[in-house]
Amino acid sequence: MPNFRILRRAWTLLILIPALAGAAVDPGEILIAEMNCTACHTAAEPVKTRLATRQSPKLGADGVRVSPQWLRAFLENPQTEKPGTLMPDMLAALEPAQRAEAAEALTHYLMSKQPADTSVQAGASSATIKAGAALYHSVGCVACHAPFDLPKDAASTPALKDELAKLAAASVPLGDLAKKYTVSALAAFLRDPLKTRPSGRMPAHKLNEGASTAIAMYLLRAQVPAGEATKLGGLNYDFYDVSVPELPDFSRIAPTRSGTTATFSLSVAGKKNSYALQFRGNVAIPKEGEYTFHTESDDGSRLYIDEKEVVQNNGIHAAQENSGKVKLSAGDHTIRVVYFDGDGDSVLRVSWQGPGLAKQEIPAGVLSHEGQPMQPLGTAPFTVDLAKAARGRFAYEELQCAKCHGSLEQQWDKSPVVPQARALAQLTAKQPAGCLATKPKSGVPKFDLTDRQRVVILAQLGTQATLAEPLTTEQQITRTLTTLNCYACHARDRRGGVEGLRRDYLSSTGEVDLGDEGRIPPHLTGVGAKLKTEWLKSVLWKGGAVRPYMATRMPQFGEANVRALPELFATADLPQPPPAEPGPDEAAAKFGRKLVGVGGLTCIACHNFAGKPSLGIPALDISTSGERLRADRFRRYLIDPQALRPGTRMPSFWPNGVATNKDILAGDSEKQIAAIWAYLGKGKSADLPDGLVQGKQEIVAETEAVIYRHFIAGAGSRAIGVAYPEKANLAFDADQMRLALLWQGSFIDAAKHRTGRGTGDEAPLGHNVIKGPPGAPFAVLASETAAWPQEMGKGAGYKFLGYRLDAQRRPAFRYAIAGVEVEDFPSAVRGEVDAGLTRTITLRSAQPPATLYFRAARAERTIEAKDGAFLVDGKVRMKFPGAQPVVRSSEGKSELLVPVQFSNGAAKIVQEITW
Amino acid sequence: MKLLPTLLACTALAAPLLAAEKKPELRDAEAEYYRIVTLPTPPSVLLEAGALCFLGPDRLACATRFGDIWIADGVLAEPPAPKWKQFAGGLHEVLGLATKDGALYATQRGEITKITDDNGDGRGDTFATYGDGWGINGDYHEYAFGSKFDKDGNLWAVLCLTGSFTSDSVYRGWCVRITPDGKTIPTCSGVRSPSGIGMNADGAMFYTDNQGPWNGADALKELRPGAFMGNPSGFKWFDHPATKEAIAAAGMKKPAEPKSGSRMHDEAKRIPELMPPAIMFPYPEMGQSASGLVADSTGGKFGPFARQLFVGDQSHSTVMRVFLEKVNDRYQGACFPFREGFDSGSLGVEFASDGSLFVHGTDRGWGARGGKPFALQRLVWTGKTPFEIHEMRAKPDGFELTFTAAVDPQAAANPASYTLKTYTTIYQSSYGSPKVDETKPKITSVKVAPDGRSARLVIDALAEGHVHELHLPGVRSAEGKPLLHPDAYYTLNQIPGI
Repeated sequence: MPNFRILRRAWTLLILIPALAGAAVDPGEILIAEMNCTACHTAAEPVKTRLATRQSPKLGADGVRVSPQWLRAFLENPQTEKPGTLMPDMLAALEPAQRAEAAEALTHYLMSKQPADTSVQAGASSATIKAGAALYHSVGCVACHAPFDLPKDAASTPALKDELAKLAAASVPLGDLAKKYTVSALAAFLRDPLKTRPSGRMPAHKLNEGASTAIAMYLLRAQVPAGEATKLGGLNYDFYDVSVPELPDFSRIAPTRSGTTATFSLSVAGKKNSYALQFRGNVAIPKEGEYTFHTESDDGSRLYIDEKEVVQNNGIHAAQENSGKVKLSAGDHTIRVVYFDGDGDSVLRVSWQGPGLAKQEIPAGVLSHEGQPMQPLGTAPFTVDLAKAARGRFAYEELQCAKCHGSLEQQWDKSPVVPQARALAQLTAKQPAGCLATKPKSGVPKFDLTDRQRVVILAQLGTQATLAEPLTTEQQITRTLTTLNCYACHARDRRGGVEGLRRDYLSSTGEVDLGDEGRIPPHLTGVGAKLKTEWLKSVLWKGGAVRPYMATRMPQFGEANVRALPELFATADLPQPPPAEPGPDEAAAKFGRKLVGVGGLTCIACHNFAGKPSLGIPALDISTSGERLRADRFRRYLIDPQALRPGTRMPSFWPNGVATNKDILAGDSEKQIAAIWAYLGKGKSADLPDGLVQGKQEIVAETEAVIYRHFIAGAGSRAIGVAYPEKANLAFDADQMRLALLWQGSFIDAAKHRTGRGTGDEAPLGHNVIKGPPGAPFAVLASETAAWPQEMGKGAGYKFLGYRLDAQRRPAFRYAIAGVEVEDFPSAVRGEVDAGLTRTITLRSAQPPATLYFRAARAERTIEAKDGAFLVDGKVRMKFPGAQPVVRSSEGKSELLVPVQFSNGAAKIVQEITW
Repeated sequence: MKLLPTLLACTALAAPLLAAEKKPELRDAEAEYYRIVTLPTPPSVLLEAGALCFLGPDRLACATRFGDIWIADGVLAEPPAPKWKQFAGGLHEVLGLATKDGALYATQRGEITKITDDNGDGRGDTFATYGDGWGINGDYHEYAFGSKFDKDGNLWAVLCLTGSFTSDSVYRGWCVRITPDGKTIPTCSGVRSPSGIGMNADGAMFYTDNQGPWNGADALKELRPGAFMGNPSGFKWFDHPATKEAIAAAGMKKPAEPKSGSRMHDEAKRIPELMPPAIMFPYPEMGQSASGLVADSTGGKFGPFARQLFVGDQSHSTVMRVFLEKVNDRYQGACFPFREGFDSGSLGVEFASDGSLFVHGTDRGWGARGGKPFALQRLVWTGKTPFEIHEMRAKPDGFELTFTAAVDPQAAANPASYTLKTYTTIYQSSYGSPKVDETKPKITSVKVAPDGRSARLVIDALAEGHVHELHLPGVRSAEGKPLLHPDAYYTLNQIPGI
């Protein structure tokens, strides 16, 4: 029996948990409030205040937007269509035919009140559905609803699948969503569920348009048709979570997620900075002629019509407009706009002007894309039948739907005679009757109750006098945390918290290495003593959040539903009188700054500060401490983090109250902590702590060559960078034994690798960066036309042997392949402007292969010049004194090969490179 | 519904935490027996030492996280005045350094490199790849810690996983050893995030692994060839075409998958390859980031702890002491606090010819109590013997403690002079673990040896697989002194038979 799962869950919590004294709330009382009994059974004000009854979903112009076929089915049989719904069956006592007729009439009436869906019809996108699946399982949906997939990285075992099935049975059912919603209606609901369901039982998860559409498309994936794509309004977009200094090559990177949007809207990115977007679709050209397109963007953008670049607006800049002209015929043409944002403001405006068309932003109405249309299952043409709607309107009043859902009319034409329910106070704890009867009479709501639920409701009705007394503080907290299911994620005292398999769905965003603190929501034990009341308000209904690394988001339940909580927490948790909050102390703050920075306690080794990344893991931004925390709790936490947050990785720098740093403030623990508090209290306006922002650490070759082995972008993880004093530089890839990069000028900035944990590839710092040919440098070819082998590195039998340094510390790289030992010795040669490079490659072999080739270049085109040099792609010149290189065309590219001629077991190739 | 054990401790929120009277500083008391000497480092160089290796009685090679190798002469002089010279540069985060026949062997992220000075000018000229049979993909987490040469001439490397949860490059989450002819032999699976490797006094290889997935606590584990160290993230290499033949040739088979949420000692009964930690370092009592280790081979020059292990803790800037014994062919034993107050995060430890212990530290990327970005220090025995627990051995029905000095027999024979509790951690795929399954066994009797140098504790219920946390607040030396560190944590995987 799937009925009333939510209530049974809440009720289980209350009955089975060893309650702290005075904190429990009677389960019958919770049921009375959740079922909204006082909508019909009137109650006195103090009782209503105490019950804080759940509000029903809104209908009509500002109400829920559902499909007529779902509405009809739901009205006919609420529990079948949405298991666990709290909506009673109002038509239960009717004969099947009457029942169908009444449901039909109500459907027409309610649809006549529901505004028409004018949104862009969604086209199915498998990438969006995939992104939606990831979001559904990570942002917090599965704290209450059933997961569909096993946790990420979990091996699929029968035991785990069994556990997943059990979890589904203990979750809030979703019902038949694919029949109920369009993608845009469900997405709109997910963005702002409180608008139509003000009770906050379904909270908002801070989802933007892109994320809400992705989750909606995932939940409605049963709507994806098998057929052909058709023309739909709006554009496709691809979102890329990348930090780039200019427009990336979109053909080479995979989007983080994709979706559809009405127009060129940056809101689909869902983040403020550091991303790229691509919009794709068609634009309907009204009339043949010359059109001018404009993009105004911050930072860069480009616009393509029919895949020809029309507007070029690349680079980091403030909002700037660039334009381009193109002649177009009437009708659809493809349009593609690419955009990226680095930092600061973000702007994108796409405009056009043309024959008879003044300059304006391109209106959404002319944009379209191809897609597979998604629509609610069972959709049939539906027009409101006015006669049926009129009957439905009468039924709405007769069934007293307005008691819960409100009136949808200014005034009623004529009122049916309706029975009046008895007041709550007149109800007694006798045998179930009325709406508690197993078969209620016509016109009486039928709730789907278990016998046990009837028993607790009756028991509560028998002791009604208590309902007039206010709940205690702890009871009010328990009731709110229960009915809003805060306990699904948060523990308080000994109740709640994420349990069992659900725990495995909580994850961190990316690889942040913060352990459980990076993924499990914080406990609420003593939260009123930890957080300032203002900050609690911010978290509960103003979207305040400080843990961006946590994939699960703190949802928003609506101010009306949680308004009392901050004060309740404070009353319950703060000692009396509350500890004093010290005021600003500039003198102390100076020492605090020392302690927070490098050279002090280096809090910034782990903690972000004022939006700037820490030197290590991205632990919580401590510049928010003053705004959020109470001073006394901060002090107690610093002294013994484990006591207040068991399992935290935060170490104590004052173990047993004794300062580990003896230098600052003479090692006085209290003064040190007070100083840090004073400093953090300055928030983001504080002067940054020492060591947070690291400068450039350029590596310079002064008089001899310098080596830098590290992660170098374009030269692999076993890269060996070499700087020559002549200001030529190279990077050798010791995985593939190839000269991967050559460049001139400055060598490399090591700051990234020498700051914090040193994550990521570093790119060359200088200019004129050119790439060596990919893959293996040498290969034995069966003939001069045979394709160059794909295998490389260890996979092709190469073995790296290291390098030898000469007197000027210049390396000769050594490796072996096919019984040949190779020594590749590059040296820099000063040029008129920039230095060049000469490679002397020496090969030795006891049994030299007959047809060994060196591949010097793989390019679009190679031209042999009069002086015997080869010009590669019009940029790089190479000369091979004493050798007879061949230029060949292979697999659509031009290759420059040098045959290796052994004599007495040795061979030599000299390659002079200038660029 | 399960109660969250971790929250039980949170209720007494308003209790004052700073005692009115402060304890005297432990580090000052420790300094009476072991004093810290700070060595000058080359001017304007961030000498974030990743590994040390002595090249002569008074000649030290020091490799850094920046990838340089510096050599100093005169490191043992007092006051210290080492003469530094750069030997090599530009290597990739060196975290292992060994020497043989005049060559240095540096463990970089991607390979072990044999470096020789061919022309005798004091700088390395030939950098020959000695072993590079593992993968590396650009993730900072993929560290490689290298050992000294073992008795067969092998160098061992423990290879950190790609991130906390994955093995994306060949042998990440494994230990490999490089034979004298340069072959890479897969040796142990199950490594997570090592932070040091070294041999005990018997020549058995050990490493430290840090708290995280499948590691409930920081731990010291024996790297026995073929063993599975506990974290299955690197199991994929058993079946991978690039590695499966080499693994089979090394005689290794894929162990059964461990069950998340179980206990290590239970799983070890089911999975024969699983090697439970010889020592669990309770988090955070002992430390929060166990690191380098070295056996006391000084023959008494470092005090009374010959053959015991000394292990760093990066986060707490300390050096811990470990006593190991072998029970049922498995190493296990106790860890004790030893010395706190180093300047930076202790990453490695190395004994010098004069019996002093070199401790090198860094706090880049991981904060440490010491607070300085790097440090090179020496711990020198003053010649005075501290009153300490010397050894702690498991017995079928309790423990035997020996002391560095005779005890007051009356106090030591009183069970009320001791407190004991036990606990273990959850062996699970998610990060770390609270302490669970706590028991409070009763010390039923204590028998003190006639010479006062040992005490035999009889305990009513030893708990297999648990850390036995023993405090000795009431024990006094014959002169009436309390123990310098009255705390011991014995990891009891095996209860010895009678």
